[in-house]
Amino acid sequence: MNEIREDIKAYLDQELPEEQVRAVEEALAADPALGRELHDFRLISRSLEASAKPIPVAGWQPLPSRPRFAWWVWAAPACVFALAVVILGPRVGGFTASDQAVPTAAVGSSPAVESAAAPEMGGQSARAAVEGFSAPLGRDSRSRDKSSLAAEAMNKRPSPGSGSAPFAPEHIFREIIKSGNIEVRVKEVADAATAITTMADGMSGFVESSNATGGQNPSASITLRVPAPRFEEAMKSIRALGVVLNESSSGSDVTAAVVDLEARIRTLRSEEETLRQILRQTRRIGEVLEVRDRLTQVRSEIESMSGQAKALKDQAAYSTITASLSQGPNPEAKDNDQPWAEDALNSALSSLSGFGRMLGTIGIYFLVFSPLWLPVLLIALWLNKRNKS
Amino acid sequence: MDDQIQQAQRGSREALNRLIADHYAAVYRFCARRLGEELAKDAAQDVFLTMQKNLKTYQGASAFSTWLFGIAHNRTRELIRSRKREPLPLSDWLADGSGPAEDGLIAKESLRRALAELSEDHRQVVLMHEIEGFKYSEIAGILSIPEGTVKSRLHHAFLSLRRSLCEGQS
Repeated sequence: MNEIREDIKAYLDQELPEEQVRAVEEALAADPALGRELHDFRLISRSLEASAKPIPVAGWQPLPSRPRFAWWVWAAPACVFALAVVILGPRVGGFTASDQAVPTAAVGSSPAVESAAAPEMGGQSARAAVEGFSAPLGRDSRSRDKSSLAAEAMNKRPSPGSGSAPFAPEHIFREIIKSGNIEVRVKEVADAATAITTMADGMSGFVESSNATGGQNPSASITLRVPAPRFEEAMKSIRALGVVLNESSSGSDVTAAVVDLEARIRTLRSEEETLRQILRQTRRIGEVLEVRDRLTQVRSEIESMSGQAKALKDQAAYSTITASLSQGPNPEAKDNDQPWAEDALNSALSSLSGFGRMLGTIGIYFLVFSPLWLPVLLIALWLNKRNKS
Repeated sequence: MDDQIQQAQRGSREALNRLIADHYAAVYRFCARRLGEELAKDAAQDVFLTMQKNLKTYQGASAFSTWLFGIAHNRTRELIRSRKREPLPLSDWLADGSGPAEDGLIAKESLRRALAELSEDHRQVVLMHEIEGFKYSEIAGILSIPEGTVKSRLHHAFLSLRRSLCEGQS
């Protein structure tokens, strides 16, 4: 009987096989208690169903439907245009594909951009490509800007053969450790902390440490590392989060220290090589042991100095910013609105102007190359229409 | 296997669009009942992204909707865990008010109290079957448990509900 009882709910839900249905129905006819149980189960089931909360559906947008024209209608003239630009480009005003490639590598100076830029240069370093590009143009101011920016993107590692450079690379590019402290009063500490973390990620930087305290006056202290060329941009973003109560920044030039370390490493390496040659020629055990001791000492010094040089370079590559956030009433907020709005306006106008110039350049190119791509587009449209009909 | 699913597996955007359109409302409600309406939109989007990513691995061993709700179940469970949210909050399942939904039925307040006394496993199958309307086999597929377990949990849950409601009346 217990087995039958366990089937009552499944019977109610019509989830039982035919033979079990018959057995349950017989049991129900024989036992009024089972019938009452079935009745109660049905009542509970109907009550639950009727009490369900209605959920209005929100948020779905259909994916874009198929374009009106087949893909090749646009692809064919686009290919012709691209081919024409590549083949004829150098003859039209000296505007070349490599001219486009350099700013792309130069815009971001983070290591991520650096690694992405390198394959585009066809196996050469970005620096070498910049040198090759700028030389025929007579190193005007524009190309020099690109060279220096691209070199920054290469993490201050210019190629040894960069023609006009009279000194070793470390003499040209200064290694400066930048650090900044900024204390900001914000509306919501948690939101501002999230914004700083997101900003650091977006700049290919990272949060080195953070700590936060809650309570009535929440506060947080965040130490972040951002790529050195983006130090000012990061400080500006943090300033925009609220009212700056205190700010300081400092820079320490460690170029001399790095150059000195590298010179000493070179000397020690040379000594190491000499010691190894002596070791190969020496047969006396006393001398072998003495040379080995000195070799170990030299090796250890090289490792230590290489580590120091690397640490200095790393510190110079990534600036440190310590942001202290506090929360509270903000009487000065109104005063700060104006510079913020002005900055935003200037930045937007500058972007708009750049965008306009870019559109203008593209438009001129399209127009100049129209005798090549326009007939192809017209033929493709005609073919598309014929296919449809 | 459904023709529409096969077309979507071959990369047809229209078929994928139709597939999402057919299941979006059910998946959205599934997520809304477990996570609340404010998170449901993003969760449903995640579910369909996962579906699109893994569509080629779907072999048709279970119904497509069961496979899809299995993805939704895993995603909502992850979000409940990560947000330390209460599992299956009854406020998202039962309509507001305390009286019965219709004459002759049990009052919502009593149902709410009786459901709250059930274990989470029992409450889950009751809500999935009675409110979301899933069949035993679908619940088994979504929760990855045997169908017999679904049947047994429902039976014991209903016995418990009946007992609680009778005690409440007395």
